[in-house]
Amino acid sequence: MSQNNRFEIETGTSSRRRFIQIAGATGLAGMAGCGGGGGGEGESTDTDSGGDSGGDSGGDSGGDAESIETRFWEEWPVETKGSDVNDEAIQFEYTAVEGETVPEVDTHFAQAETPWMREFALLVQQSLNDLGVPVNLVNVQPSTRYGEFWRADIGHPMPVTMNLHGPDPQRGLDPNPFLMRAHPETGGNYYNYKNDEVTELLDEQAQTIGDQEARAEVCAEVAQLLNEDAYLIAANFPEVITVANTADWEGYIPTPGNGTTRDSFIWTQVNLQPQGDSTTWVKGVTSGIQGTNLPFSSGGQEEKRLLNVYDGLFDASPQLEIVPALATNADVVDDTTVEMDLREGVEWHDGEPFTPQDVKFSVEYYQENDAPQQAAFVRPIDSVEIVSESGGGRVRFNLTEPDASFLTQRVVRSAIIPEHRWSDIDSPAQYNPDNPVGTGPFSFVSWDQGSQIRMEKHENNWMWDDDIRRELVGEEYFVPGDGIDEIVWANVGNVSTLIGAMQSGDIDAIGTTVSNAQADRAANTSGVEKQTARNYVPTDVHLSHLVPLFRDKTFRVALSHAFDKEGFVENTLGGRGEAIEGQNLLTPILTPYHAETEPYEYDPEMAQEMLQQAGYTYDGEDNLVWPEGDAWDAFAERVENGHASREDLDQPDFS
Amino acid sequence: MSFRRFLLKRTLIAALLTLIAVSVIFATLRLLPADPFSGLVASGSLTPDEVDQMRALYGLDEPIYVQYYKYIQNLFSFQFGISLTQQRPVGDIIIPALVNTMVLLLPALVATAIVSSLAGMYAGWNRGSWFEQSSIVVTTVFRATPIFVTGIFLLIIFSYGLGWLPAFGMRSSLANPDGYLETYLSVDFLKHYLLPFTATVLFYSGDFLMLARNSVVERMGSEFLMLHRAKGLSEMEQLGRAGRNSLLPLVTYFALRTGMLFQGVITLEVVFAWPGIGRALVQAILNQDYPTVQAAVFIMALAVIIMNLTADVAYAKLDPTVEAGDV
Repeated sequence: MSQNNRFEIETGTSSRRRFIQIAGATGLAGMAGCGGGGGGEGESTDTDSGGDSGGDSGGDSGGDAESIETRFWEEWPVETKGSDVNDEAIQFEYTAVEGETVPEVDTHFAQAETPWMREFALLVQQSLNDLGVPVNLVNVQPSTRYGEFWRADIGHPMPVTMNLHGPDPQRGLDPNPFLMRAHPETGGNYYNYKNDEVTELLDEQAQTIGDQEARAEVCAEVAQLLNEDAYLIAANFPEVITVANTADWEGYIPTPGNGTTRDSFIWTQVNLQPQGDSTTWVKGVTSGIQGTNLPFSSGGQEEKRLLNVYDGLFDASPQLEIVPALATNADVVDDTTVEMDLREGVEWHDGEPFTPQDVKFSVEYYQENDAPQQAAFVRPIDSVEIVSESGGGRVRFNLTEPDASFLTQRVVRSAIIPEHRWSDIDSPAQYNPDNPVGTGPFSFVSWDQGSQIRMEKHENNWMWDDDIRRELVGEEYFVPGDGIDEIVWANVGNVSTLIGAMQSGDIDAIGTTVSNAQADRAANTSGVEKQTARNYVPTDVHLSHLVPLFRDKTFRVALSHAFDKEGFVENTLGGRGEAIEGQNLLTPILTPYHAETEPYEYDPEMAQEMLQQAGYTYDGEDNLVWPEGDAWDAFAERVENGHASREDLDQPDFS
Repeated sequence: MSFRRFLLKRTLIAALLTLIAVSVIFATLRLLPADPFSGLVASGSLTPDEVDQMRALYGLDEPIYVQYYKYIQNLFSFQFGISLTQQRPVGDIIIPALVNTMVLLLPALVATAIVSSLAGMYAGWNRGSWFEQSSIVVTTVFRATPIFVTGIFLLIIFSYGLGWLPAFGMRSSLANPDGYLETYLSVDFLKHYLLPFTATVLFYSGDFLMLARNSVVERMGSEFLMLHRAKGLSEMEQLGRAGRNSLLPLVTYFALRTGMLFQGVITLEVVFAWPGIGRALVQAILNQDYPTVQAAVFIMALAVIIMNLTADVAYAKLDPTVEAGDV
């Protein structure tokens, strides 16, 4: 019986699964050699073809063990998810069988993501093991994981996956990128979490435009509900550790999430002042860009590095505030209308003047041609009008619906391109400009595929003005001066060579995060320093809410108590990070949207006790065993509900 | 007549092999579970509908046999299409990378082929000498050591330790040359070139040395050499005659190696951050950039097959028995 089950878990699609069940019915049932095994087979076939609700009602004869499969538990407001598409949308099996040992949980991670991801995976494994749940750790390639395992249509096709989120600026500016992942209608809901109370509040906050405090209050309520429901494990905000030469260069800015030298923000390179002989700042990186087409790139380094060439309507400051860029202010006319004044005297790198028409063109061009990197910016825009041409000009954005994040993350992600350079391009998705022209603080000089990109200072940009820059980056970080003349990204291939090149003085900074130990090694050289910045993106562990084990809130709460967040930060990260209080993905830096959430005390013994009270038992080898009898019915009830604990449902203590 | 038949047969086999190779790579790539665009949905950049439009733009929405047919047709007319992830023609991606690889590997191979072969012949001629024994040991050690390990040792000594030579790349980050000529003919380039060149030469030296030595050893004592000695030729002149007769395996091996150069040496490229074809290919595979991978693999397969054919032909030409029609 249990062997048959394990066999099923390893098979992929539902059609193959059926085949095996048929094979089981004809041949293997005899091998299983007991009535219970045959009954189990019959029942799962039953659930499969009938598609009826829950295994709890499925058992037809008293002596047979009941089972609950991994499935969608209700209908969803999107086509690809919900209980009527279970056959297509469920791509893995994980079944709870009354009185059987809890089977192994497939748990995905990408070791190459950070220097300590493997240690983190081992912590996840340990936490589950402490509760008696065996774990199968699967290491996947960071590059292919998103296409394969982060499925917008059906969610994660495995029970558990972990990840350190990337420092995309929008994630530090607006609560939506993380909170809306708990909304059933977004593609980012990889955990297939659906909680109507939360959904309603999420809708409410997303449309609260203009009143920050009111929106923050709703967000706080959401965060507390999610935390109380222990919907995932939000583990830590690891510090961003980078290395740079501080003897020859002054003015590094430790932007949260990005650190001093990474490419998601441009503040360091516009603020940097040469103190030595060279005015060309060389940053060593491990991967090059693949093209010079920012709006139509398919995601990667090109978007980030070309940010130096292009400007957006607004920027995110080192304090993660929205600060003016091409637009100098934004007026909310009504819920769906926003007007912006554009900066006066801005020139494209080729000398042409920047006009409101360029903004209108960019938006329309991106919409018409589906520009992947600009989709987040243009999606809620219905139309753009030019209100005035005087001064820098004034444009009006008509939105399709009220969108609180338009004036935060969306405008910050914008990049405006010159109409006179793009209007003749027929197929922009297959176009690679030889000389990408923008308005940004640096103009493009050259790109040698696989080895380097070079840009030079564009004097006309406002960021080179001391007064304006002081305002943008803040007094704390501002360093006056003319800045650097050139910036070069040198592709050095791997971190060890980067550190060697740093020590030999071939590069001035390492443009990627390094581990604490690597940073200390590099900082042994005189003039080289380790630099750290806070982070606004968390390391988290996603639990699939389709899996009966994680659908049981009691188990999620127990797991929260069995997860040693602080121990990991202290021991593995060497104190370089913040353990997260509660299961809350929003950083305390994100004011006013961050709210305090109640932490789960680390106490694995108490967690085991909770599970036993809820009807789980342990076998002789400390493996967790699914509940039996009345306790099974209580378990089935909790799974059916999804968001209620034993106490919520007035269930007795089964221990 | 028979040589022509021989050539025809070999060419046909080569063409068939190429077709099989490109078909295998086509099938392998399509077996991967996702494509580069699925990640765009995951990251929330595009909706599934918009991604479908992107797929259509690249013909990925067509039935698999149509894709295959077009693929074969385009490959054999050297139209590689446009990269899925880099917004530009595949040729623009592959050719500069291939040039960088050939600039590094071809001179290294030629240099090691000449030097090591001569040394090998000399070693074989002086069997049992100190030179023979030590040269075999040294080159075998370098042949047995992975090339990136040799590379790392060279870096540790000459770059990090002595600081004589730069640690990475093809040129200094501060240099900004224009065009191929300025790029490849400068002192700066030479400095960056020395270490990876040396690592390659050392790595390949063992093969040529052993081949040449063994060949000469086989010729020693043969009747034609006895005749030469009887004619009163000096030792070196006799070695020259023996060497010419030992060329066959060397030429074959050189041709095969040249074909394989087109694949680059990925570990070498990573250690020295050399922007060659190996790294470009790995990058393309990780990005699931089908057209780039297909084109790169096609060129690599074609190079090996053509060089094999060349070796066959050269063999036939070098061996007079072929002219006699006895193949």
